[in-house]
Amino acid sequence: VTASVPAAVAHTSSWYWYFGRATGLVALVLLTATIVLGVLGPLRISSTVWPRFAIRTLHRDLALLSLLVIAIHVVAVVLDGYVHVPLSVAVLPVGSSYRPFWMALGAVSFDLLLAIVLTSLLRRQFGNRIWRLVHWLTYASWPLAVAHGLGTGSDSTQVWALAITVGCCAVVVVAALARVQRSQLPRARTRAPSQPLEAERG
Amino acid sequence: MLPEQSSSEATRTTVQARAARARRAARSRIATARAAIIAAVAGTTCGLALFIQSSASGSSNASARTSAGGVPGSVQPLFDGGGGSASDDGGVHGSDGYSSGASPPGVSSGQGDVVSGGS
Repeated sequence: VTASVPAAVAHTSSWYWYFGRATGLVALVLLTATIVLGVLGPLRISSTVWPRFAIRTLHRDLALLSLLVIAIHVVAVVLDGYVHVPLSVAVLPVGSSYRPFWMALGAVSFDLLLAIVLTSLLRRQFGNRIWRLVHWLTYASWPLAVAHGLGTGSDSTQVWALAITVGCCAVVVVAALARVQRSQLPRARTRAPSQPLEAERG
Repeated sequence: MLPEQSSSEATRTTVQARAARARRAARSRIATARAAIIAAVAGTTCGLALFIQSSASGSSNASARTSAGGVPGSVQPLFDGGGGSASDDGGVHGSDGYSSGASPPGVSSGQGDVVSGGS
């Protein structure tokens, strides 16, 4: 009888742990979807069913949802209590006694994401130039989040977890390659007509 | 007003009305997608937590914890039954986050199993 109360407490704690791990993986998938929509945005991919403003709205919503899921992830891990992870570790890359390096990567990734989301929400106040500069930090935030998951996630060596992580990486790499490839096309098009003009001037 | 002007205005009005309808339809689709994504995220998170829990209990509750921060092979399962000493209760020693002899909340050091067979 005396053991039942501690058992219940331990079970509750375990559930925080399981929930923390699940939200971590879901956050990674959401971040990946966000970054893919963001990377593909300038490619002007749209349709009559999904116009560009709808894709932009979806991109913003996914980013906000990612933040929410990450917040739940942090709270679940802090509440777990088995390992001492202070709440400040969510934003400060120091102070965690549990896998400090990998936790620091997660904190930095979260900070960058916060900066990206805040400058996006206050884009008019900050201006396009700052927004764009901060938005480039996405390319640092996402790999840091992946590294944090691989280093901290207790399931990172499981086949299914690895499949999720590798799948996310593959999708982002393909989207980034598509963006790079597409970004080179307009330059080629603009250069081609300018050459005859310059030749005429010369 | 010239007939040409009224014709162009009518065309413009039609195009604007069509664009407004398309925007409304897109907004409706966004709302549907939003709800679907939130439901999917909630469902996936709960499903994943259950899956992790079941896979952890399939081996031992401690294995997940151990792999989370432990040194494989250097610790004993957390809830594997029987009493244990403060040094073999699943805590990981050194710089990996667990203090020596650490116990889960509500479990005193050395008490050992309180979940699966601690009666």
